[in-house]
Amino acid sequence: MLKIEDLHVEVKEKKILRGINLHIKRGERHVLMGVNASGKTTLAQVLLGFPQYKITRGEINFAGKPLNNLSIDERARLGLALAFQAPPKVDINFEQFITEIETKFGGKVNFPNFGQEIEHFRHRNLNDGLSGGEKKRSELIQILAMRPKLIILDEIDSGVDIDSLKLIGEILNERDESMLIITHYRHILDYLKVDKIHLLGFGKILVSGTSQKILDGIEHYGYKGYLNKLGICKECPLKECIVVE
Amino acid sequence: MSFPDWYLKEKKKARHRLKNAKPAKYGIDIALEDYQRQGRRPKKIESLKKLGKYTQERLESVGERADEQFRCATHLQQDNITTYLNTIKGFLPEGVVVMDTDRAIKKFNWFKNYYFKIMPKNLNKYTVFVNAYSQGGIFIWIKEGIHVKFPLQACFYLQSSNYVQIPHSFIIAEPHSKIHLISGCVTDKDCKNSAHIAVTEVFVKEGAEVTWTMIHNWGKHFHVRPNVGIKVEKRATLISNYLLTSEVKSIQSYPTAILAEGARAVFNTMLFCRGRSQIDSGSAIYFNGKDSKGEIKSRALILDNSRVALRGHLSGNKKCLGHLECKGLILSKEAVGRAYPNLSACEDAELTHEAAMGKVRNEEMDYLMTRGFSKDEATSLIARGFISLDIPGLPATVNNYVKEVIEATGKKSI
Repeated sequence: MLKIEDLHVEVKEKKILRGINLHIKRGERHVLMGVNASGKTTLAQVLLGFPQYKITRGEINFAGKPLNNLSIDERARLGLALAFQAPPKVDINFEQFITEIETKFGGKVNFPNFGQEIEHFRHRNLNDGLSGGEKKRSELIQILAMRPKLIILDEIDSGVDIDSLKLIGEILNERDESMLIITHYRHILDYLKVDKIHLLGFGKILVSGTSQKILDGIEHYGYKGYLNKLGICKECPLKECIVVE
Repeated sequence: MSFPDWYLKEKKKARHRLKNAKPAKYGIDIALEDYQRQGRRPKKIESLKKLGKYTQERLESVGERADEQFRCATHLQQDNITTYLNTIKGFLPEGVVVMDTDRAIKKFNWFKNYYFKIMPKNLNKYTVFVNAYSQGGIFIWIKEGIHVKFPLQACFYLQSSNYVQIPHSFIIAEPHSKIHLISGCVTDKDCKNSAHIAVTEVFVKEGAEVTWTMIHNWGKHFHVRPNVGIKVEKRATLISNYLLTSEVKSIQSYPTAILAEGARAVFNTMLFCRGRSQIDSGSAIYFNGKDSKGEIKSRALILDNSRVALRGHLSGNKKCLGHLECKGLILSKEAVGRAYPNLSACEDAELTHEAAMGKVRNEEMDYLMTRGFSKDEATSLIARGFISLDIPGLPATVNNYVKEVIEATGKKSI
């Protein structure tokens, strides 16, 4: 479904990503973890084609097509959908916007139950005065209206209470789209089953695996300590990703 | 019935003053002598349905319903003649008087007490011009305690070329009355190079509520100067909604409300600034009574080669609460937008403002594009959303209509 090979990215001549390799198959759920400013959000936005990022090397293929030269909207129409960490306020009525998205992507969508909270923002403008949980619900409704093939969730768990997190996990567990879940914390994984965990640092995926061991290692030692324990530091990052099974 | 002496003297004096009258403070100057005040006299009509299909459509483009459904009365002024006045039985309660202003001046001997009592006669050459030469206008008088459920519709239709329409209108809402006026201003396709120079005085007495929704659909050859003065007495409310949908040669508008204790005024302005329009649009609120409240919200979509100035003035002279918002979204490299927010406050006044002018933010554009919309589609969605002000208190039929007009105009022009 998504194949990223040796991806190098710069912003204003500053190197952010230095050789990302990632392969997500149809229906798989992958988690991307890492400290602040490790490049998680950059990767999400590069996948969507945000113009401020310059790909200096490498390729992104999605659903069998190379993405590098496609615009944001073309990628979205291919089936890539991003739930923003901090979506901007836009003066467009939410409900009207959902209808516009549904119309663009082939008609009415049967949404899962997002709870009473959506009544608070159904008639409001996009992201105008919304709480953390409401913003996440709004993002999920928008991307589900797009009937996506791959959902990228950028810190879907930030600023939400436990009840909202549980609801989001339950809703996502019922979906069969491929997913890339970007997060700092493991809490969302208490409610959402995933196939693979990746640890991003120094612009690369340093650790990958299916194992709970990665989560336990981060929990126990912290990101930096866990990487040190695996023999990885800024001065000595490994050429190959460490696989933890 | 002839005009009273006081009125004829007023006109005579104003004609003398006109020679030395000063231009308006804002907006481009118009040579009033270029326009004829006398033209062909449109004939009275029996029903709006008797108007041609095209004219009916023009009326409907500014919120007037040709079938008159959901309306309590209709007033139509073509050029300077009131050609149709209809009160709808069962919808217009007793105690509401609707007529042509000239007729009201002749009929009511107390009219002098309202004539140019809010709007200064010598404010500028346009107010002097109306004082000197006004013809027609709508007079609405709602007696004490009367609530009018359905809106009253008034249309000013300009059809002669090289001509000036000069209405002087009055709304007098007696204490604790309530009314909604929808006034539409529109031109005929054959009408070229004309002007609409108007004065409207609105008296909202204690506890009364007046909602006034104006929709304007002019043409690129027209100058428009609607001078509006509003007095909002104790605990009364004035809500003014203004929507411009068409290109216009120039508009200068600066409705001003004076608030007494506990009074409230809201001005919502939505402008589609198209073609080579030169628009100077503002509103002012004077908070002269304690605990008064007011809000001015102006939004302009600035397209093509248009030039736009958004003004707003809040003057807090007593304990009051006021907010001013002037925002322009510039959608063309050739267009220019300016904002002039202005606050003056005494110690107890709490006044705030927001002003913004500029193009669509990249952040918003990228966000919408991630939902599959092309750049053009995203611009159109943002622009239509930007201009659609949420107007609380508007009857659902009018609100839906305003939204429909905005959607249609937005889709057409962006």
